[in-house]
Amino acid sequence: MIELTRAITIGQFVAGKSVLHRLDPRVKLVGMLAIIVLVSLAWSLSAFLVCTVLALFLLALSRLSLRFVLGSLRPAVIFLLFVYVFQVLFYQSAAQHTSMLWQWQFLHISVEGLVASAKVSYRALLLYYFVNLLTFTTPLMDLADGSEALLRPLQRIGVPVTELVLVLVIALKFVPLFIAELERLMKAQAARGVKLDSGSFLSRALKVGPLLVPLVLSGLKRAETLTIAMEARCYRGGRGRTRRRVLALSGRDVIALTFLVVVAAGMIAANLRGPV
Amino acid sequence: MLQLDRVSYGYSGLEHDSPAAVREITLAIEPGTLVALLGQNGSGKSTLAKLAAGVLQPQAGHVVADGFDTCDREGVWAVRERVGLVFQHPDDQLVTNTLLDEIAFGPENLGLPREEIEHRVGESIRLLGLERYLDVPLNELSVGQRQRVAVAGVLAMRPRYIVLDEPTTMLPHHLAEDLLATLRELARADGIGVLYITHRVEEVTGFDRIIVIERGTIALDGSPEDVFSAREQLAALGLEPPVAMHVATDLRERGGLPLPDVLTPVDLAQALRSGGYANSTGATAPRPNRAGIAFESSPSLSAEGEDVPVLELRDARHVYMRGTPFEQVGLNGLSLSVPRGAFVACVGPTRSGKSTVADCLNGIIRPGRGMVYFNGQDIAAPGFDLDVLRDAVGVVYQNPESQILKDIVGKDIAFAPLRKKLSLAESRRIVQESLEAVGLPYEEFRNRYTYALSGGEKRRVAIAGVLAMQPSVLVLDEPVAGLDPRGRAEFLSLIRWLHRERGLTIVYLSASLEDVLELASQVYILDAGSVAFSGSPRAVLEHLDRLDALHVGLPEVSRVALELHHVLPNMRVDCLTALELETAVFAALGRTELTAYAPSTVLEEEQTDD
Repeated sequence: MIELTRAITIGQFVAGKSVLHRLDPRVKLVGMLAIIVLVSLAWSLSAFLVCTVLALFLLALSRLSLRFVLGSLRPAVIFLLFVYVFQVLFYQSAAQHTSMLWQWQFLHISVEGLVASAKVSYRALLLYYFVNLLTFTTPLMDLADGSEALLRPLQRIGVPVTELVLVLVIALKFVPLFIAELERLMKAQAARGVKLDSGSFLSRALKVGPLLVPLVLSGLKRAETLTIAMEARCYRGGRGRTRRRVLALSGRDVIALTFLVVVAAGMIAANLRGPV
Repeated sequence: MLQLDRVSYGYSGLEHDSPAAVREITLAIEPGTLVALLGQNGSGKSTLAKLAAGVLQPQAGHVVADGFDTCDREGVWAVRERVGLVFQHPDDQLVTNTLLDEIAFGPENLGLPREEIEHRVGESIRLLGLERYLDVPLNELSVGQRQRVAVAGVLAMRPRYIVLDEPTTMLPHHLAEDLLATLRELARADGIGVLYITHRVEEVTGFDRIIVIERGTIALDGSPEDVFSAREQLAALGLEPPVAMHVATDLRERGGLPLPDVLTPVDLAQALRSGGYANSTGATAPRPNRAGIAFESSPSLSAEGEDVPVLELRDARHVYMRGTPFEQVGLNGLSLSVPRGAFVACVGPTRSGKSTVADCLNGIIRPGRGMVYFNGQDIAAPGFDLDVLRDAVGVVYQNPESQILKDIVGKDIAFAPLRKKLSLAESRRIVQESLEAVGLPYEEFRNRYTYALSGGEKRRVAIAGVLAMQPSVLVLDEPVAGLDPRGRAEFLSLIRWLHRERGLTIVYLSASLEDVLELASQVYILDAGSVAFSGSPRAVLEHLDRLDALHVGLPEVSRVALELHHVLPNMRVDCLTALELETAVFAALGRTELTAYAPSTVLEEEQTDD
């Protein structure tokens, strides 16, 4: 069965009117940054608990279907499980020998390794989840506006922020088109005898390799056409361009920011205090 | 005025698929006029469009819009502001992914004040009736809706001229009509000059001027009446006059009906009515076999009765993205059967389930519910080898680019034989056979680079690659979409040859009935994932108004029949050719001239006899 569009959800936006959808994109981006930092620093069990509660709370706020969001985690879960096995087997630490369960040559399984690797994997899963939640509830153009507003100070030191943001917008716009193209290429392969939907994970991954060249070629062609389309509509870089959208903070956004500060404080406290 | 003055543009010519050149073209487009540009693929139409819109600068000559020259460094931006460009495929054109941002993109680039941008965006949205889609992400809109967004984005820049490069290729008939009506309105009310590129002559009958280009130069230029009357010149350029005009001329010259020259079906119906030929008797007559004329029956199914069909779908249901907010029904209880050696067509508008049918037939998708049978075996049964199915059922997809997997033609076609671990000599033989089966000489093509082939050659190589699997069934998904009339005819004759001479069973998926009338033994009309009705091409054509309501693409003969039916309610509408249509009109009028008008004489034959 080949249905990539179902598995790959990165960059997809799910229209809705929830609180999360309506927040100012700048607040969402700052919140996202804060969450990334907090999750990356989480070490104690209670800190992970706070993260999980936060994840569930935001999910409830977003009013997205639980089944859909869990489904979107599937590719990450499969990948992380795969990585987890290696992490455990090659785990290195000084205190490890005290909790060794099994050992052969340079491969080993220890309780400490199991726990530490689980934390790393869970952290990655949380990050993947939060980024997904952001794109599910934020239209691409809001993300672009938000990042442009936040990065504007860099313009003073000569960073072409407006152009970079447009590059981001177009790149994300191409994601669904690319997935559709990849799906077409895979179908064409399957129609000519390649067994894409059977075999081990690794052998399947290897079969996608040869598709990259036609995929990149079609991407370049699209980019070229889009350049012409943009020039035809008088795009000359950020110079002399009006921005139609104006961002404004509302009461809702202030509450969200306050909430963020409280959660961050709670997280830091949980991390400091909690047992390992 | 938009003026092209002895404009030339050429490409380096290393790649065969590079766009065609333009040589010393001079033409002027007045504000408020509708100008059509016709020509074969590779005649230079698209190059001319880009030159006129200022995205290409001519190598010789000048393009001047309202006094601004594209060769001038600032002038080129003034030209781009004044001349809007709409592409064939909206996905090539849309920059952002929401409707408001997309339409505002141009005005934003012009640096207009914010209030003015809002005003113009609102205006364009109203003009194209897009109010309902404000909150829908662009990639969830249909192609037709996206094309309207693209046009709105161009209009928001308030251009004085619009250049449209085959904008209706991806659109069903009723949406194409809507777009044309909008253009007429823009020309009439706002004085916008329109340069409209197409190869569908029926679309441009109401234009002010028609220009036909061939190999980069202007071959014909004049009013639609003048251009379409030059039949022989048109034929030499690979074009035919509109069917309504052809029929009117025949009815007059051969049948003695005093009809004036007409260009459109509506005008033809009007001419019949005002000539006193309208026939309101029997307005409630039953549809089949009216007016007592017999048409040749369609080719019947060659495999009769007992034989187990090669492929069969039974009550297949499939939902894409099940369990996500993007759920979409692909199939909704669809059943069809493909007898061995038959030519089965599935015809329906976009999203009617055609592509899902293709994916089910070679086991790429297993329908969520329902059965797929291959030679009577359930493909979902344990122990069924999907490879057997995929070897036997070759699928050729719409876009050849996504199907060519290697850089050299020979290597690409050898892909399947080498996978099967056949010997080199055996593979080579199959590659040669497959290439020659699609009409490409082996020695000439086997070492060519695939990316440097022309569009038509790519399609042929894509088919050859599938033929190298040595399938017994060929599933073709919209194989002729986007080809010009000449390319289309060549391609259909290749498919006819594969079916009749090579004995391949064909499943042909298409948005238009036109492609399949001549070849299909059974036509399934699809609607929203299930079969609306089915039958022989002629039987299906009896339901013309229903087909039209389902937005199925119809051949122009049927469009004329549909229109004349209002005037002649007892006329047969299931006509396959213009000749049959003329016969049906005569029969409906109860005239006896019919006998003098031998149905077997075809125009071309008579010309060669003279």
